[in-house]
Amino acid sequence: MLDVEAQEPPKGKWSTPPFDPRFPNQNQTRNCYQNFLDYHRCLKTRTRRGKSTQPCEYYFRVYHSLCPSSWVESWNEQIKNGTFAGKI
Amino acid sequence: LTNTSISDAQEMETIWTILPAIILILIALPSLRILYLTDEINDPSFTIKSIGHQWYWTYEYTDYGGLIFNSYMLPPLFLEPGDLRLLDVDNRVVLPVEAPVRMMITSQDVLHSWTVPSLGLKTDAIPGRLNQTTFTATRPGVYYGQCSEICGANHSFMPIVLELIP
Repeated sequence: MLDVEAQEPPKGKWSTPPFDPRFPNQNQTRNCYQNFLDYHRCLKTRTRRGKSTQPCEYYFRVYHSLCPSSWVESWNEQIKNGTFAGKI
Repeated sequence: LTNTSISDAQEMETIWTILPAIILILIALPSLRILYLTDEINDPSFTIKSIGHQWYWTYEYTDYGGLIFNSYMLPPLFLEPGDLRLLDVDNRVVLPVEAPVRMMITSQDVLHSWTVPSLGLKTDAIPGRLNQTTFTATRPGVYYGQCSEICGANHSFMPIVLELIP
Protein backbone atom coordinates (compact mmCIF):
# COMPACT_ATOMS: atom_id res chain seq x y z
CA MET A 1 0.00 0.00 0.00
CA LEU A 2 1.32 3.41 -0.87
CA ASP A 3 1.37 5.82 1.98
CA VAL A 4 2.28 9.41 2.54
CA GLU A 5 5.95 8.57 2.89
CA ALA A 6 6.26 6.56 -0.33
CA GLN A 7 9.04 8.01 -2.42
CA GLU A 8 9.29 5.51 -5.23
CA PRO A 9 6.58 4.75 -7.77
CA PRO A 10 5.29 1.16 -7.78
CA LYS A 11 6.83 -1.24 -10.26
CA GLY A 12 5.04 -1.90 -13.50
CA LYS A 13 4.62 -0.48 -16.97
CA TRP A 14 4.49 3.30 -16.90
CA SER A 15 5.63 5.91 -19.36
CA THR A 16 4.60 9.40 -18.36
CA PRO A 17 1.34 11.15 -17.47
CA PRO A 18 -0.87 11.39 -20.56
CA PHE A 19 -2.47 14.59 -21.80
CA ASP A 20 -5.25 15.62 -19.41
CA PRO A 21 -7.96 17.62 -21.20
CA ARG A 22 -9.00 19.20 -17.89
CA PHE A 23 -5.70 21.09 -17.97
CA PRO A 24 -4.93 21.81 -21.61
CA ASN A 25 -2.83 24.94 -21.21
CA GLN A 26 0.60 25.91 -20.06
CA ASN A 27 -0.26 26.24 -16.39
CA GLN A 28 -0.13 22.73 -14.96
CA THR A 29 -0.13 23.70 -11.27
CA ARG A 30 -3.65 22.47 -10.78
CA ASN A 31 -2.93 19.23 -12.65
CA CYS A 32 -0.19 18.37 -10.15
CA TYR A 33 -2.24 19.44 -7.12
CA GLN A 34 -5.44 17.73 -8.25
CA ASN A 35 -3.71 14.40 -8.75
CA PHE A 36 -2.09 14.70 -5.36
CA LEU A 37 -5.50 15.31 -3.78
CA ASP A 38 -7.11 12.55 -5.82
CA TYR A 39 -4.46 10.08 -4.71
CA HIS A 40 -5.01 10.78 -1.03
CA ARG A 41 -8.78 10.84 -1.38
CA CYS A 42 -8.67 7.53 -3.23
CA LEU A 43 -6.43 6.07 -0.56
CA LYS A 44 -8.69 7.27 2.24
CA THR A 45 -11.90 6.07 0.62
CA ARG A 46 -10.66 2.66 -0.43
CA THR A 47 -8.95 2.02 2.88
CA ARG A 48 -12.12 2.94 4.71
CA ARG A 49 -14.06 0.45 2.59
CA GLY A 50 -11.46 -2.25 3.04
CA LYS A 51 -10.66 -2.42 -0.66
CA SER A 52 -7.36 -2.68 -2.46
CA THR A 53 -5.60 0.65 -3.03
CA GLN A 54 -4.03 -0.53 -6.27
CA PRO A 55 -6.26 1.73 -8.45
CA CYS A 56 -4.87 4.72 -6.58
CA GLU A 57 -1.44 4.04 -8.01
CA TYR A 58 -2.33 5.93 -11.18
CA TYR A 59 -2.79 9.18 -9.28
CA PHE A 60 0.42 8.54 -7.40
CA ARG A 61 2.36 8.07 -10.62
CA VAL A 62 0.91 11.20 -12.19
CA TYR A 63 1.66 13.51 -9.31
CA HIS A 64 5.05 11.88 -8.78
CA SER A 65 5.91 12.67 -12.39
CA LEU A 66 4.48 16.17 -12.49
CA CYS A 67 4.96 17.72 -9.07
CA PRO A 68 8.30 19.07 -7.91
CA SER A 69 9.58 16.93 -5.07
CA SER A 70 9.86 19.93 -2.75
CA TRP A 71 6.14 20.60 -3.14
CA VAL A 72 5.30 16.97 -2.40
CA GLU A 73 7.55 16.90 0.66
CA SER A 74 6.00 20.10 1.94
CA TRP A 75 2.46 18.80 1.44
CA ASN A 76 3.31 15.45 3.05
CA GLU A 77 4.74 17.30 6.03
CA GLN A 78 1.57 19.35 6.30
CA ILE A 79 -0.59 16.22 6.13
CA LYS A 80 1.47 14.66 8.88
CA ASN A 81 1.11 17.77 11.02
CA GLY A 82 -2.59 18.16 10.23
CA THR A 83 -2.08 21.54 8.61
CA PHE A 84 -2.70 20.61 4.99
CA ALA A 85 -5.14 23.10 3.49
CA GLY A 86 -6.64 20.78 0.88
CA LYS A 87 -9.75 18.71 1.49
CA ILE A 88 -8.89 15.02 1.62
CA LEU B 1 1.31 81.64 -36.98
CA THR B 2 -1.65 81.18 -34.72
CA ASN B 3 -4.40 78.63 -35.17
CA THR B 4 -7.28 81.09 -35.42
CA SER B 5 -9.12 79.01 -38.03
CA ILE B 6 -8.93 75.73 -36.10
CA SER B 7 -11.02 75.64 -33.00
CA ASP B 8 -12.06 72.05 -32.51
CA ALA B 9 -12.69 68.94 -34.59
CA GLN B 10 -14.70 66.69 -32.41
CA GLU B 11 -15.84 64.35 -35.19
CA MET B 12 -12.30 63.81 -36.51
CA GLU B 13 -10.97 63.22 -33.00
CA THR B 14 -13.67 60.61 -32.37
CA ILE B 15 -13.02 58.82 -35.65
CA TRP B 16 -9.27 58.62 -35.26
CA THR B 17 -9.63 57.27 -31.73
CA ILE B 18 -12.34 54.66 -32.36
CA LEU B 19 -11.07 53.40 -35.72
CA PRO B 20 -7.54 52.49 -34.56
CA ALA B 21 -9.03 50.82 -31.50
CA ILE B 22 -11.23 48.65 -33.72
CA ILE B 23 -8.29 47.84 -35.97
CA LEU B 24 -6.20 46.77 -32.98
CA ILE B 25 -8.99 44.53 -31.68
CA LEU B 26 -9.29 42.94 -35.13
CA ILE B 27 -5.57 42.19 -35.01
CA ALA B 28 -5.53 40.99 -31.40
CA LEU B 29 -8.36 38.44 -31.52
CA PRO B 30 -6.91 36.15 -34.21
CA SER B 31 -3.48 36.65 -32.69
CA LEU B 32 -4.63 35.34 -29.31
CA ARG B 33 -6.40 32.43 -31.01
CA ILE B 34 -3.19 31.51 -32.83
CA LEU B 35 -1.22 31.80 -29.59
CA TYR B 36 -3.38 29.15 -27.97
CA LEU B 37 -3.45 27.00 -31.12
CA THR B 38 0.35 26.82 -31.14
CA ASP B 39 0.17 25.12 -27.72
CA GLU B 40 -0.49 21.80 -29.37
CA ILE B 41 -1.69 18.63 -27.74
CA ASN B 42 1.01 16.05 -27.99
CA ASP B 43 1.82 12.77 -26.37
CA PRO B 44 5.10 13.11 -24.50
CA SER B 45 7.43 10.17 -23.98
CA PHE B 46 8.62 11.43 -20.67
CA THR B 47 8.52 14.32 -18.25
CA ILE B 48 11.37 16.28 -16.69
CA LYS B 49 11.03 18.93 -14.06
CA SER B 50 13.26 21.97 -14.00
CA ILE B 51 13.36 24.05 -10.83
CA GLY B 52 15.08 27.41 -10.77
CA HIS B 53 17.06 28.53 -7.75
CA GLN B 54 19.35 31.42 -7.01
CA TRP B 55 21.57 30.65 -8.91
CA TYR B 56 21.37 27.17 -10.38
CA TRP B 57 18.86 24.74 -11.87
CA THR B 58 17.64 21.47 -10.38
CA TYR B 59 16.43 18.76 -12.73
CA GLU B 60 14.19 15.90 -11.67
CA TYR B 61 13.63 12.79 -13.72
CA THR B 62 10.89 11.09 -11.71
CA ASP B 63 8.97 9.03 -14.26
CA TYR B 64 10.97 5.92 -13.47
CA GLY B 65 12.47 6.59 -10.09
CA GLY B 66 14.07 9.54 -8.40
CA LEU B 67 16.96 11.01 -10.35
CA ILE B 68 17.41 14.53 -9.04
CA PHE B 69 20.50 16.65 -9.59
CA ASN B 70 21.69 20.24 -9.58
CA SER B 71 23.24 21.99 -12.54
CA TYR B 72 25.73 24.72 -11.70
CA MET B 73 27.71 26.84 -14.11
CA LEU B 74 31.34 25.75 -14.35
CA PRO B 75 33.46 28.43 -12.68
CA PRO B 76 36.18 29.84 -14.97
CA LEU B 77 38.91 28.12 -12.94
CA PHE B 78 37.32 24.73 -13.59
CA LEU B 79 36.98 25.06 -17.35
CA GLU B 80 38.73 22.51 -19.53
CA PRO B 81 40.15 23.52 -22.93
CA GLY B 82 37.23 23.64 -25.33
CA ASP B 83 34.62 24.44 -22.68
CA LEU B 84 32.51 27.53 -23.14
CA ARG B 85 32.90 30.25 -20.52
CA LEU B 86 29.62 31.18 -18.76
CA LEU B 87 27.76 28.46 -20.65
CA ASP B 88 29.04 25.06 -19.63
CA VAL B 89 27.68 23.34 -16.54
CA ASP B 90 28.75 20.50 -14.30
CA ASN B 91 25.68 18.32 -14.97
CA ARG B 92 23.89 18.53 -18.27
CA VAL B 93 20.31 17.60 -19.01
CA VAL B 94 20.61 14.46 -21.09
CA LEU B 95 17.73 13.68 -23.41
CA PRO B 96 17.08 11.38 -26.36
CA VAL B 97 16.40 12.81 -29.82
CA GLU B 98 13.14 12.21 -31.67
CA ALA B 99 11.26 11.81 -28.37
CA PRO B 100 8.57 14.31 -27.34
CA VAL B 101 9.68 15.70 -24.00
CA ARG B 102 7.49 17.51 -21.51
CA MET B 103 9.36 20.04 -19.36
CA MET B 104 7.70 21.23 -16.18
CA ILE B 105 9.30 24.45 -15.04
CA THR B 106 9.00 26.21 -11.73
CA SER B 107 11.09 28.15 -9.27
CA GLN B 108 11.96 27.72 -5.64
CA ASP B 109 12.59 31.37 -4.90
CA VAL B 110 12.35 34.26 -7.39
CA LEU B 111 11.43 34.52 -11.05
CA HIS B 112 13.73 32.79 -13.51
CA SER B 113 13.28 31.76 -17.12
CA TRP B 114 14.36 28.49 -18.69
CA THR B 115 15.57 29.16 -22.19
CA VAL B 116 17.15 27.20 -25.03
CA PRO B 117 17.02 29.54 -28.03
CA SER B 118 18.25 27.01 -30.60
CA LEU B 119 15.22 24.84 -29.82
CA GLY B 120 12.83 27.79 -29.69
CA LEU B 121 12.19 27.36 -25.97
CA LYS B 122 11.58 30.00 -23.37
CA THR B 123 9.39 29.42 -20.37
CA ASP B 124 9.22 31.47 -17.20
CA ALA B 125 9.98 29.78 -13.91
CA ILE B 126 7.51 31.24 -11.44
CA PRO B 127 7.40 30.29 -7.75
CA GLY B 128 4.16 28.51 -6.92
CA ARG B 129 3.29 27.84 -10.54
CA LEU B 130 4.12 24.90 -12.77
CA ASN B 131 4.59 25.84 -16.42
CA GLN B 132 4.67 23.23 -19.10
CA THR B 133 6.52 23.28 -22.38
CA THR B 134 6.96 20.44 -24.81
CA PHE B 135 9.48 19.90 -27.54
CA THR B 136 10.91 17.23 -29.80
CA ALA B 137 14.51 17.64 -30.79
CA THR B 138 15.47 16.14 -34.11
CA ARG B 139 19.23 16.61 -34.11
CA PRO B 140 21.71 15.26 -31.56
CA GLY B 141 24.14 17.68 -30.01
CA VAL B 142 24.66 20.09 -27.16
CA TYR B 143 22.28 23.01 -26.83
CA TYR B 144 22.94 26.01 -24.61
CA GLY B 145 20.72 28.58 -23.01
CA GLN B 146 20.83 31.13 -20.22
CA CYS B 147 18.46 32.27 -17.53
CA SER B 148 16.22 34.90 -19.08
CA GLU B 149 14.56 36.61 -16.15
CA ILE B 150 16.54 38.86 -13.87
CA CYS B 151 16.98 37.01 -10.62
CA GLY B 152 19.72 38.64 -8.64
CA ALA B 153 23.46 38.98 -8.58
CA ASN B 154 24.30 35.81 -10.51
CA HIS B 155 21.47 35.90 -13.00
CA SER B 156 23.99 35.74 -15.85
CA PHE B 157 25.72 32.73 -14.33
CA MET B 158 23.09 30.01 -14.29
CA PRO B 159 23.08 28.53 -17.79
CA ILE B 160 21.14 25.61 -19.18
CA VAL B 161 22.76 22.85 -21.21
CA LEU B 162 20.87 20.10 -22.99
CA GLU B 163 22.76 17.13 -24.33
CA LEU B 164 20.68 15.33 -26.93
CA ILE B 165 21.81 11.84 -27.71
CA PRO B 166 20.62 9.59 -30.55
